[in-house]
Amino acid sequence: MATPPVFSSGSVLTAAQMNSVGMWLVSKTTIGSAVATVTTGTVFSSDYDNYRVIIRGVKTSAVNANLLLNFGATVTGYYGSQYYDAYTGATTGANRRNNGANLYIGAAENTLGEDVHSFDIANPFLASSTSINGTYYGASYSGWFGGTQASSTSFTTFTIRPDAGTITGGTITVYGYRSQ
Amino acid sequence: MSNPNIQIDDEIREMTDEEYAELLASGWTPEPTDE
Repeated sequence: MATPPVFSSGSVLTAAQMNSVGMWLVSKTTIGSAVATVTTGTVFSSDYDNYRVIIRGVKTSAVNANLLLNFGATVTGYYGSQYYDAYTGATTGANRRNNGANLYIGAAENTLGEDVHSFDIANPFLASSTSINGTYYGASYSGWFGGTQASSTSFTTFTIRPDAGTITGGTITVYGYRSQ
Repeated sequence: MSNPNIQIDDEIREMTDEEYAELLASGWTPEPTDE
């Protein structure tokens, strides 16, 4: 019998074994050319309480642009902050949202597309606050970010955009954490 | 001058005037910044 997570060719998997798989791919979106906003398809559902999102390879038209996150069509009630630290040591600081229109999710690259933004989303589909926490590297900055959308709205999608200009390329991959 | 593009799932199109107005109202700026 197969023993997760190691399987051999021809293994028959039981429901119990499949139900023990902890993470599932929900969606992968390839970002197009020169778009100001990107909204996912339906990614949140009753299947999962919590999600992992990885955004990588985004190129911004603006220098040192930050990526911002919205849930659904909600543009108020966001509370959070983002820390940034340049590897040169020249710049460090924070951006904050206090009942803002979105959440910061890190700086993105202008030319190289080396950026990566990884974060967890807790309870987006449930009728309760939706919170995130994550880390990023982009445009010579490293840092963390976190925050909450403080309403009881149930969301099925999210949107990312730069705070200035447009973005080109890269991917948005969403995974669901199995918790039942 | 055309409005910027919007992507929804895999579809990309030009923003409507209403969508563009909402984007500008959110604080987005079309010009590059150097924070």
